[in-house]
Amino acid sequence: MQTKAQAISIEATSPLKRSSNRQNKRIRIGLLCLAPAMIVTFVFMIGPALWSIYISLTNMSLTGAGAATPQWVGLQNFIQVFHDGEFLGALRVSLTYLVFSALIGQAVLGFLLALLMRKRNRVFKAILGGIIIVAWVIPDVVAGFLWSTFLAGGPQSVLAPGTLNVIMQVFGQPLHAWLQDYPTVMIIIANIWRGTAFSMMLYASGLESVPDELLEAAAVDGAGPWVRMWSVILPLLKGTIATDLLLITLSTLSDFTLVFILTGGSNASTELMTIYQYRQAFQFYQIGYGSAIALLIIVVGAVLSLLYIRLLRIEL
Amino acid sequence: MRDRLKHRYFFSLMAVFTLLATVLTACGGSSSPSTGKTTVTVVYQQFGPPPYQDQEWWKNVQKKLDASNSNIQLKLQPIIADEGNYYTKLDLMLRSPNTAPDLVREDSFLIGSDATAGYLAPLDSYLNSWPEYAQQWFPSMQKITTFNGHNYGIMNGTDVRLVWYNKDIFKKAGLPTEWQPKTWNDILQAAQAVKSKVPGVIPMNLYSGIPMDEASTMQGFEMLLYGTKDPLYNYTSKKWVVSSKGFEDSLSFVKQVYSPNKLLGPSNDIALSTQAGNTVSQQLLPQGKLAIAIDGSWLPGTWATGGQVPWPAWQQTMGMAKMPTQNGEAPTNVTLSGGWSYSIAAHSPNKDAAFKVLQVANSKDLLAAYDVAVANIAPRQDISDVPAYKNQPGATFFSSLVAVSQFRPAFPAYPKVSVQIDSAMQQVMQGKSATEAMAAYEQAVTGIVGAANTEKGP
Repeated sequence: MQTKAQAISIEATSPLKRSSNRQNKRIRIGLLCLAPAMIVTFVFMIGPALWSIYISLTNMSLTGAGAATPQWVGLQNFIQVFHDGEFLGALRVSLTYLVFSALIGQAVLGFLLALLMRKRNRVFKAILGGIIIVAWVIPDVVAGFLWSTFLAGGPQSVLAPGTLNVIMQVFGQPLHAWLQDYPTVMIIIANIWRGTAFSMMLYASGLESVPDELLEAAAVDGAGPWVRMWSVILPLLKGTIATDLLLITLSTLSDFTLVFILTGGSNASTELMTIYQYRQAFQFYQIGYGSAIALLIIVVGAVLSLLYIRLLRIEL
Repeated sequence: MRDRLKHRYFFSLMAVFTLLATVLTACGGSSSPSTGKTTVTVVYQQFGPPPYQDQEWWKNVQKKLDASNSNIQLKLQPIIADEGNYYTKLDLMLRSPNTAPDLVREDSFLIGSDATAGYLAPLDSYLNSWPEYAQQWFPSMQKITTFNGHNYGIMNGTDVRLVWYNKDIFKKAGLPTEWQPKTWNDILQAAQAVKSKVPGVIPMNLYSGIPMDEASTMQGFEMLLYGTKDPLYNYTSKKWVVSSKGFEDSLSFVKQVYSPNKLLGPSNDIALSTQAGNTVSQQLLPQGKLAIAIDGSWLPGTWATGGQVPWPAWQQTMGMAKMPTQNGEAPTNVTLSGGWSYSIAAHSPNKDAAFKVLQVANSKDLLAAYDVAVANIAPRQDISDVPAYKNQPGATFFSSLVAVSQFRPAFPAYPKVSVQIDSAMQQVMQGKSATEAMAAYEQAVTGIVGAANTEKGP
């Protein structure tokens, strides 16, 4: 069908000039080369994406009512999401997690570490860099279990205390069931530990491109370290900062495994939007509702990304 | 030139579509018995290391079918996944007639949801034609697979919940080593005796809070609530009872166990971790660090030779008692059962053959061998005189509990209600009063099932 329509349009353009004909041919060859990739993209990406938008407008579920014959419910799922206190709670948790662990923790700490590593000798760089990157290289599941053993034990517990509680014991401090008593703080710290390496590497490569002459010239003109940082380094790194914030925001918003392993995914104070979505879709089997939440997560990510681009006034 | 290009374009497109079509059909799978036999597909969960007892069972069923010259060929299709993902995959298979198998392993608890979804075929006419079923299956086991008046499965194994206690610790605390608490208070008093006389031991465990999920609800809360006069769900009015004296009393019991000043339960790092189940069965009990545990009949499976923590001495050390009702009201004790069944898929093209297979699989000897192998309690009464089954420690005690066992209201809304129960438990653990926690529960459940489907008890 489509091929026929294309053929007709080709016939129609044929009386045109030779040069435009050649151009058309080039476009056609280009399209032909792109076709396999395009088809794959359509079948496996855009198709499912459109499908999930459709599903989010139905009451589709895996079992119970709505499983055999999903009904069109319009925007009902989205209305329900905004009336669900648990979703608003999860949104709050996700944003807290994002701001403290990614934007403040990873980005700032990563930047400071990159500064610290600048112009140091190789051995120092290799050791410090190595330690930080290890945290980034190990799989999420392993990192989760590492942290839960590190934070294990607590007061009155008959189980062996974890490393942190042993340290507390040595210094005569009270023990805590860290993960149960301070879950939000603990997942934030664990994620800072885990993700700082990425920001650090990005900033390190950004700092490489800051010309030394510029900094020297600024110093000669009487600029102190703060002024040099504020007026020379940061403006030059604007693009890097925007890229970093964008990437860590999107990856933190879609984070799931580390927190799920640490908390079992079911504690109201640590339930990220992704965990909430997973529970609704695959524990309560509400596929339609889960799809609606997934779309909202994308919206949150998109809004934040646009915000960064606007605030930092960069062109992508 | 133009034409050639046009053709090339067309052909490459065709090629891509043909390729895709081949790939997609390959995904669909096909079943074309070349032998003239009827193929019956069986789907079950397979997880962890071998031996896979479901597979062994079905192999024996095939042998027996062959011996009787039936023309049925079983096709085993294990889904290799943990429990949660098993249902996701199973439900996806059951949705479409193209992928629906004939026989499926179902958690009795999801039968209501899957029947509502139209995934399962009612077995009433088949079961009526098979007198053995009505005669041998415990009435409670027949009821558990019944939803809206139709029976959707045959139970092949069940479990019960009870009070485990460590006799060595009881001796040290000056408590009787043959113990049967008559009321909730008896349990609390024994726990207090342990706390004051045996240091370094957790007096009792009652699963509680959100991380332990359904274990908190079923092994914890419902073992209490079902021993009061108030139900979780009123089957007569078909409404959820969102507020009652029994509910509040049950929460008060939880609060007493987890009161920080006089902590009887495990500390938060154990109780509020998702690993609490393993910690209790694999560490605290075998290491003699827990005196009383309200837990499942499946624990000995963990301690058997070849189990996760072999502990042959458990038979001398661990005592079993029935869970009492709140003040010893009739019927004096309470237990809950879950368990597994096999059901016939609604889309199955071979329902008659599938039922024939079910009859063979659930025959006395084959089912007994299976239940012994997986350490299940048999739902068939006559299995209790099979020696291999009878000689298992606790088998007689467990079977006596099955007769009075109760179930969860397995409606589609239940999993969400269950989370709210866990949440109410966690609230009292963390200092809220039972009244406050129950008010929060009432509000949340009303939001889930709708005000029209709730009622208040006395």
